[in-house]
Amino acid sequence: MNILAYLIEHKDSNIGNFLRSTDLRNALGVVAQFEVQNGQILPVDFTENLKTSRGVRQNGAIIQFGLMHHEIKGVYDRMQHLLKRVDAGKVKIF
Amino acid sequence: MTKLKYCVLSLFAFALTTAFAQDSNILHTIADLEHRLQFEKFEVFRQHDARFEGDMAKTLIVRWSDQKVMRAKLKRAAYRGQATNNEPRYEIAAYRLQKLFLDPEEYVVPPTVLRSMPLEEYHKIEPYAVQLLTILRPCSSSSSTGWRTSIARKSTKKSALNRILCTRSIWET
Repeated sequence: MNILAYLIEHKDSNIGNFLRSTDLRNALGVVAQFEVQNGQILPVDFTENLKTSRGVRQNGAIIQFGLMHHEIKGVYDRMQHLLKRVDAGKVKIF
Repeated sequence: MTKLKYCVLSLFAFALTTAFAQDSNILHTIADLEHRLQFEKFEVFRQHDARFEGDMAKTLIVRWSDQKVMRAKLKRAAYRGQATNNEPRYEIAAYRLQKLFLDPEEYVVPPTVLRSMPLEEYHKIEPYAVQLLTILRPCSSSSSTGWRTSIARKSTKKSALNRILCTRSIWET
């Protein structure tokens, strides 16, 4: 999606226009999850984000770790800023 | 009655510091490293405080059940899994973020996971740790990335998270 937007010179950098931004939410909203089972704390498959405004969340036997919504937006914003600096030649890449 | 003492949640990450470690770690796929860190039992072959004496972050040489040896770094999580300058979720997020645009052979952040272990077991690494929930963080060679977290065991706070952990701490068989 990002490369397609680039190819058609899509200038609107609205976060909703980029598939990668959605990936950011999926990839960083929940980064680890555990469940208390029979006296053990076990890693389990991720479920939906229990609370986007908290980094460590708990619901019943589930313990979930992830980035908060504003932290994910911060990652996205810094990525855009970095890309602009690269495009402007202010950051060298190799 | 055997008390199953406090579970330690650990976040783990590998550091490729020495040539020895590089040689051993690099032989494994990312999937294999992640699986070992997350699930497999290990014994600590050698350890030292990561940056200074008394450092909560530890650099370990671990031996897996198949006798393979690797270098890893871990750090206890802070109380309730997060604290200033001790946010294991950031370490995992950094590891996962690169997966969005890098191929595994290009990863710059070492495999990093959150892992739990019984406190009794963790005491072999840090004998006086009293945390109920400990999250280990990553390790790295020169700087970084090792860490671990923990949630204090004897907290009197009544958060749901703490209740869960305390419940686990008095689990009995």
